[in-house]
Amino acid sequence: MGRRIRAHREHYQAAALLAPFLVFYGTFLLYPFCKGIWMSLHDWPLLGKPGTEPVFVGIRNYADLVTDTVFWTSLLHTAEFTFMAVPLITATGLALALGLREARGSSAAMRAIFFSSGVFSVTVVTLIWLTVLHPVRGLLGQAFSAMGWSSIDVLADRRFAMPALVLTTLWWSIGLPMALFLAGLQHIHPALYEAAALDHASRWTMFRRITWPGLRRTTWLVIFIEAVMHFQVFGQALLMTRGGPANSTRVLVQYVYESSFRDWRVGYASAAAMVLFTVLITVSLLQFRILRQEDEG
Amino acid sequence: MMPARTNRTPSLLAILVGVCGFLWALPMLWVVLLSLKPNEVLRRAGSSWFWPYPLTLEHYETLLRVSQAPQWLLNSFIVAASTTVLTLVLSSFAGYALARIPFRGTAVIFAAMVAGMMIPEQAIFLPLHSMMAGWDLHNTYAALVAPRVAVPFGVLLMAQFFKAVPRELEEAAELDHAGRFKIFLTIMLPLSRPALTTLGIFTFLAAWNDFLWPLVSATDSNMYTITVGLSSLQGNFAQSESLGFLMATAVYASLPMVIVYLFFQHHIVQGVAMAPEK
Amino acid sequence: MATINLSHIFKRYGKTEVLHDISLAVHESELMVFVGPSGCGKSTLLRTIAGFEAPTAGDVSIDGRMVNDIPPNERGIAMVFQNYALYPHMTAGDNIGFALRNLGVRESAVRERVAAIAEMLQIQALLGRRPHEMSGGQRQRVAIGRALVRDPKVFLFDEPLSNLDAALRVQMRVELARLHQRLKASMVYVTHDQTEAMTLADRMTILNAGRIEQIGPPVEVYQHPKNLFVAGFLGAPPMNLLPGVVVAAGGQEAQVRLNNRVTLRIHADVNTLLAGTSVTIGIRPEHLQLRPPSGDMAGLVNVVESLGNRTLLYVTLQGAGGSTNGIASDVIVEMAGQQADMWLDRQVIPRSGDIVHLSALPQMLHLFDGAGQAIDAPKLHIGQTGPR
Repeated sequence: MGRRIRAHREHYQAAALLAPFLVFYGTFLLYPFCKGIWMSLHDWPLLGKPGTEPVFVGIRNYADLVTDTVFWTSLLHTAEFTFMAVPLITATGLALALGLREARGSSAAMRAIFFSSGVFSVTVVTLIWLTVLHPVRGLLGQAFSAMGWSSIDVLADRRFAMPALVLTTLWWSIGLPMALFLAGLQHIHPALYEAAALDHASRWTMFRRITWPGLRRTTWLVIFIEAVMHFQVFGQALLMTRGGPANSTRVLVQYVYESSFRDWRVGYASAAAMVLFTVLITVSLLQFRILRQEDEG
Repeated sequence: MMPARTNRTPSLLAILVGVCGFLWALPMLWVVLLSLKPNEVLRRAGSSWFWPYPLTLEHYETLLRVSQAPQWLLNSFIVAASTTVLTLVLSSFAGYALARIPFRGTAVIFAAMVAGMMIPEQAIFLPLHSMMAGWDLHNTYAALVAPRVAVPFGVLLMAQFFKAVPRELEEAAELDHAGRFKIFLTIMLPLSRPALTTLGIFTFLAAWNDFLWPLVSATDSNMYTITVGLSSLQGNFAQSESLGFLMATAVYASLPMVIVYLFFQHHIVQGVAMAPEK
Repeated sequence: MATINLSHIFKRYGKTEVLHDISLAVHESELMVFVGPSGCGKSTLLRTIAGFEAPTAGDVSIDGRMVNDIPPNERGIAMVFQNYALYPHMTAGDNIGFALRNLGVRESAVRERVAAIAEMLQIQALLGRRPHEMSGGQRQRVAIGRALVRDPKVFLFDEPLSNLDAALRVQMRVELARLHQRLKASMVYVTHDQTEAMTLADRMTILNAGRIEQIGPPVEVYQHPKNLFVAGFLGAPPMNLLPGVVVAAGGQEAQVRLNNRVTLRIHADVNTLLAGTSVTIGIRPEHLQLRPPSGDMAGLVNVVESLGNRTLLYVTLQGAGGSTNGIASDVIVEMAGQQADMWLDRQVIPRSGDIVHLSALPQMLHLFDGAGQAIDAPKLHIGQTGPR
């Protein structure tokens, strides 16, 4: 059997193995993505009702976005949420990982607890925290009344609504950063600490000079993963506050959702979704660049 | 690990972790507790709620008898299981082809998949919705499963795994007159069990917890997955009558995932540390 | 049993050339060893014979038939891989029988054959075990069994012993030699260990950076290295290589001056050797002798290594005026333990700090020209090692 025939047979085999997945991939990921861009250039009706055809409008949707204050507030709040959540979650994840590394005995059970919160769906999580934060019947309310304080309706208060969402998200997604930091800590060679101990280094010095530099790459990784994840926040805002009070927690994905399913402006919503996509891609590319620098440096 | 310390009181950090652990578990325990409290107790505002007694299973009873929750759970199972099986099969096939079969275009397809990983679901859920509407596929299992199967994460994971298998193994099998498919079925697949398990668990979890897409695609309440169905009940949160019932539904909705988690904890923690490194 | 013929094999990966104009033949029933340092291309050459690599140019023939376009499993070869490549989730018995089952052989025939192979290799007890339940040496045997079962014309071994510990390696080496004698099979064996090469080979091919340095039976290559590389590669401890300048040459002899002090007489075909030419002299440690103070070379003993059955001396030669400066590295002298030094009339092992005088018989010296090529000595009778 000649070499050319072998190569042909391999092409055939590869095609047979790849085709099923590629069909799904093309139909349900690539094509919709392209179509989404296409839709953002149209006035697009929600369902193909007779008499309502998509109308090509070029970049008018994007132009309208620029002047749409609700869009901008959504974008702003999403950024606000991300900038509050990411540092908090990263720092907490790091602290927990450091603490778990020391408390060797109970660490398995502790790790299980911190990880378990990530197993729940967003609806369960929001329900849990709605219950916890309820001013009268919730854990918070009951605790307050037991101590004689008057309760606060956290989710109806403009000052506390967003922090409440951040807290919920912290509880929900602590597992991944914690695991990443734990893995990163394991990569730091224990001999470094032993040598430092011989050199009479204090624990703080050890952290500053050995642990922290050793975790730089992991920290960047965590920050980027969390940033990308939380910029897409939706369920918490929709289910806990519905974007209120007074629009203070309306986020970008919610805006997209409402534009299409409440206002029936699917083309316009697609344009907003494309803005979201652009932000995420930029962050991802930044992530690649910085992580590559970290690996080389 | 930090150098061994004399057995004194644990450090501040360790105590903090312990406290956090307690705080983390508290909301879950609170919800379970409430789900077991009878309605009369719940109606009375006051710190009597902290007291564990009396307990009742009336909410769970209602759930199983009257509500649609069992149907929703079934829908979630069907969708998650189908997604997982399809993903495992398609990902292992495609991953093997990419990793091990040399042909022109490997690099292109690979790059296309990595690029596809960066497309968030929010960028495609609207066009998908429009497409499915055009094909009259809303409120079907197919509509819920198909978009999830298209995610290239599984293929990339399996490709990475297959690439790590030593070439010698395949060469030895080739020398032993095993054809390519035979090599795949009798050697590669059994070897890849740990990777497949991890992928399977993650896929199942993600499919079960999926919110945005089922929300817009399954609009008939009979088609709700448990995740979406639960959210439809949350509008009733204001009424105290339904609080216990709501809590019971939340527990019911989470139970399968908690069981999966308890069984596969090891795999999950390992896989989580492994996946983002790519 | 088959012959192998490689004709002008070249292999390039992009711009890097890994094999350069390799032509050699493996004779029927011969055990040919490819040996050389890491990266010299020996594994690539083996895989080219097997068919897992295709040569960029050149022809591979097995048993007279050109096999360039024939896939590995149709070439009539079997291969034992460096890491054994045993199927991890199959038992040893299934590993060995895999090929036969794939060919559709009847189950009973497969079992018979596997049992026969197992008996030959003494691994009957292992047949039900998985690879991870076996030691390195056992896995090795199962891998050999898997190769045997295919009844091949040629056996290929890719550094099969490099993953075993030292003691096991020696044991397996002997077994492989016995296997070869028993089967009388044509074998090509790749290793980086020159001891393995010397002990196993009927003939060896010494490779360096993709090129053949020398081919020949072990003793011949050892005693008559064709260039500096081969001279330095074979032998442990390695041959001493000393730079020098030709003082006079004529007939069958030349005189070479080392480090401005010592002049050695060498037997060599020296017709074209001019005075003043730079050359390199090679002396194997076991050919250097301790002489009474009138010996040719004087030196200071730095380190003495006692190995039990022999002793190694690391000696710095003295240069002009008795100084020990300017000499790059130590000369190594090997003294056999039981040697009653006939010339000294008593057994004395020098100590560090002693001055010793060394000499060597002219016919034991090797001469290499400025390009590193050996200048032929008048042929020594093979087996004659001269007085030691």
